[in-house]
Amino acid sequence: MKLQAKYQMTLIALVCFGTCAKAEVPSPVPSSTPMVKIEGLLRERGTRKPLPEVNIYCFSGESVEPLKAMSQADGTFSIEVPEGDLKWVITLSGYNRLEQKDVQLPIGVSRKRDLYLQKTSYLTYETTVYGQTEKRDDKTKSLDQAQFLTVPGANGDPVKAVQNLPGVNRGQAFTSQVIIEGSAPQDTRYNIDNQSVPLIFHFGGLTSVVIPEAIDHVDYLSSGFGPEFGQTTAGLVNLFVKDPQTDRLHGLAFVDLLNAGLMVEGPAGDKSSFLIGARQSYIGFVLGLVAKNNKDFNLTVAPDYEDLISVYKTEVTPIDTFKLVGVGSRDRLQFVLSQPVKQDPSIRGTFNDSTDFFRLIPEWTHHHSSTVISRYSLGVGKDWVRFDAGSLYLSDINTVVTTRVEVEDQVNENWKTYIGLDNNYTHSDIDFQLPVIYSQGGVSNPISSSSSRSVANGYASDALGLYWRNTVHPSESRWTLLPGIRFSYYNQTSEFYPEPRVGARYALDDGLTLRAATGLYDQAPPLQDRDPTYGNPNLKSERAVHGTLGFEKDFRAGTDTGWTLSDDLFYKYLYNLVANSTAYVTPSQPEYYNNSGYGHSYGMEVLAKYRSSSWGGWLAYTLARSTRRNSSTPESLFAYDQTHLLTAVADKELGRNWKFSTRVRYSTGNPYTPIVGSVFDADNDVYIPLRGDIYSQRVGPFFEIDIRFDKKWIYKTWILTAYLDVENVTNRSNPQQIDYSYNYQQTATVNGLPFFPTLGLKAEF
Amino acid sequence: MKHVKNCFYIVCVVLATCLAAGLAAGCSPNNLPDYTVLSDLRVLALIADQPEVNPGTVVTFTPVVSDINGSGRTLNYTVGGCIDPGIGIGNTPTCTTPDPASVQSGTVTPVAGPSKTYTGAVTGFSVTMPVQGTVFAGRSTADQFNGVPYLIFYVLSVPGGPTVTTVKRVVISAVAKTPKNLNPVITSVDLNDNPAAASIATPLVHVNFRVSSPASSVENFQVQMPNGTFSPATETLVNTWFVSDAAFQYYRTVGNGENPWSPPTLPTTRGMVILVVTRDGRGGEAFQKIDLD
Repeated sequence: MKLQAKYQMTLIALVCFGTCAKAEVPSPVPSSTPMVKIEGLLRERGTRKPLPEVNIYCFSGESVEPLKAMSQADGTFSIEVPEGDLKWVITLSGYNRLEQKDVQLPIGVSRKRDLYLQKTSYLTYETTVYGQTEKRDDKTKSLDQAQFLTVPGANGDPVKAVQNLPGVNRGQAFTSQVIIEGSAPQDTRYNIDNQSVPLIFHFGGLTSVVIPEAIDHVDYLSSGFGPEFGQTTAGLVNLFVKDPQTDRLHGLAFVDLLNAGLMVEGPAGDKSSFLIGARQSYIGFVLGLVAKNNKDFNLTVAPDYEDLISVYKTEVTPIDTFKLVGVGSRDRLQFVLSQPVKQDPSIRGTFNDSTDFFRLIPEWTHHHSSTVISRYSLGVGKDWVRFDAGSLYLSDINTVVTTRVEVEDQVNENWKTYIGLDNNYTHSDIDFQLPVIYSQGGVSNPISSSSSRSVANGYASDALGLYWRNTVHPSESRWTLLPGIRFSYYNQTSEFYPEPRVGARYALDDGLTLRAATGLYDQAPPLQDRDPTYGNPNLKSERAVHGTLGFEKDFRAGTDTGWTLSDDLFYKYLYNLVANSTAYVTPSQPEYYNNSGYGHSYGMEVLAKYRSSSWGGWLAYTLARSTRRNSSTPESLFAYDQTHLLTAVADKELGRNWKFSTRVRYSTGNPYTPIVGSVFDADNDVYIPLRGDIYSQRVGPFFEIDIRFDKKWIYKTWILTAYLDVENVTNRSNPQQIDYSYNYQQTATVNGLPFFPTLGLKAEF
Repeated sequence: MKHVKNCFYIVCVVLATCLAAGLAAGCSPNNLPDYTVLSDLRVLALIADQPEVNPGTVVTFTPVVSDINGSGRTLNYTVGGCIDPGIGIGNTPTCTTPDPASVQSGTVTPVAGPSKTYTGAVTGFSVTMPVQGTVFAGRSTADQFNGVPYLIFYVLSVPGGPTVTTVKRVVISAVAKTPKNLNPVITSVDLNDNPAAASIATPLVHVNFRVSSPASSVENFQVQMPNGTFSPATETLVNTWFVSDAAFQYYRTVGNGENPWSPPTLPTTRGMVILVVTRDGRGGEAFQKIDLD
């Protein structure tokens, strides 16, 4: 016991010496003793990250006084030790203490030793829920990789994780689209590295089109966002691809119920690095097995997706950086119905659905000086969309070139300015034969009763935006002003819009900031809706006015732990909205669409965040109302109006690299339009619904609890992670929509996902 | 552009995926009534003797009605007609102001038939189509060639009971357009590949039905596009199967596709009925009924 106590006292002393890094310890070994030189490398266990400037102690034989070495910047160390048994001892803050016995060393032989220190936790969260990355305005909310990878119910998906932020409405049925503050889901714009992409989800909501581990962070911009982005009246979701790691080669492989994938990254020469990753799904294999014995349903091409991402980054000169991102995605589904389905005789035959796209996104960053930076990027790519349903089809091939240029100048200590332009050129070859499915209040007329349209045409569209954004913060002032303006031009509609967008902040004290923003926004109408024969060539852009007012209070008092609270009121006036029209311009020419739609969306968003050393979470609440009307319908609730939307997310480290996290969601049920009768269409063998008051009723509220367990096993040179993500752990029946009998006389409720577990494994080095 | 294409894409994909998943897994069960199983008062077809006509032609309509639980009650009907207000682009399927000459009313009584199922054709009515100057006023050449739909609405009602509204379009095309569309023909309804009589004994085992039609029933036709060009097309005959008891495997079959049926136990108070309606997708209809005892 005495020996042990003495030993412990010695170690305590050594730890003290270790923290006083430069202290010299007198050698405990007589100079005449033969020595063996050991060279080694000190690394972090699992990640193999070199650990620099760490004191390494080596006990020789029965000696209680250790030899000491210090690791260099690259983690290497060198030490001479005497013959005999050794014991390594390393103590470092944030790591488990290492005590490792070593074998007897033959004299005169130089030996290599790799030592690995294990972190106390590999689950360490960032200290904020979101938003501490550099933001140009208060309307940007960010989730970084550490956050979105482990949000329950999102299966590690960065875009699905965004749905937990305030102001994001819950989608209908099984879609995962981000619906921003009562806007239509199709009004949300999706970017990768600031360049638009044609879709963000495989199959409408299964998972994003890029490997989550290749994403550094995701930005979500809601009402009142700045002038850098246009062509959306709602907001946008911007995924930012990570810079490849440069220290060494890294890799990961993962597998879960939906897909499996690989990713590697590392240095490519002294000043360059690369990343490449790919995923392959196998849901089609599972569905194929289910459908194998169903002779009426021939799954000729199982639903599958693949995606690929690649990154190359290089430092061309000390002031020039070049980054090239490549993104590719492919979705496939095909099946054959031997006989028409019950809903509609038009739904029969071969179904085919495929969507492919790729984007090459080169970006050049040049530092003109310490205060002036310019960025130039392109998005060059092509989209192929093909859909066949019996005799109906759509083929859409797009060639896309998007451009973004921005110059950032810190003019003086009070004024920072950004001047830029973005341009989106698309050439579309569209060929389709599709019904004019009239839908009002979420109730669609049967396909069989609808007129059919055939279009085979080429369209070229160009949307140009110029913007100027400023951040003015006079010294000694509590005010920060964010004046900006954007000029948008749409060649299709020959429209030119100046769009002022301004914001302001007022710091009441160090922790409390008031903020406000307002601006004008617009987006061009869909190209095919302006077709002179099958659309309305006089359609104009949809427009919106945004206004927000709120505050943020930081209770953390400069620490990493504690509460923050933010509250924002928002209001959007939407006008010139494209609406279905049942009018005729001439007896032979329907109007099809017009700009008679308008609406309001307003509400309040509250976000309370908490983070301590071992647990954290956030509570997001939205109180909102969204309405619409157009020339043929009176004002009504909007399809995605949800009065109350509450999301609580929490996580807790359980020790031994276990983590538990949970998400609780509640939202008011979506509105729906009751059907008050029907008319039998004898020609087409379908019933045409007769609508009651538009969106005058609601399905039941949505309530769901999701849980997730993450566990990491740390090996010397790699880490194995397993997770179990369970959606709807209480197996609650959440009504999603109303199903009707053939003549709309009787109803049934369609529920959402039942108890749904997902298991995943990931190995990384 | 991309947004709506995205939206369209999403709708298509979700529709297709849900359809696939639903069909494959047999999920989404509910207790909603089956389309093909007859019970309440229904109109199963409204057959015009000529689905496509010249302006001014008199067209005779035959309703096919099922009122199995009606015990032969008398049904009131009203009829009206007008140029199609544009159901195809979403307008309400009704005539706000029916052409006065088309308006008529009366009563019909479904016939019990050998199976006592009160299912089959009932007394019809006739309507004179509007003249060329009315129906083609302001219409394009393509519309005149392809035809302007004239809408007939037929409302069946029972005092204190249900009301069933049916619409039917008669295509009025230019006199110069020939040939005009004709109703399909059902040569026979085959039971296990043999023509079935109008009244048969109820099968005791699983059987297959199919519709036999002459090749001439599948007509080739031309559609004039807005730019004046013509696009050839061919009809596809789709058969809808109705039955008083126990659903068919398929609601509908295409052409002469088989439709399996497992007969249930014969009801004690009546027989059973099978009725198939064949449509050509252009307004042409035909039906055939088989009583089972």
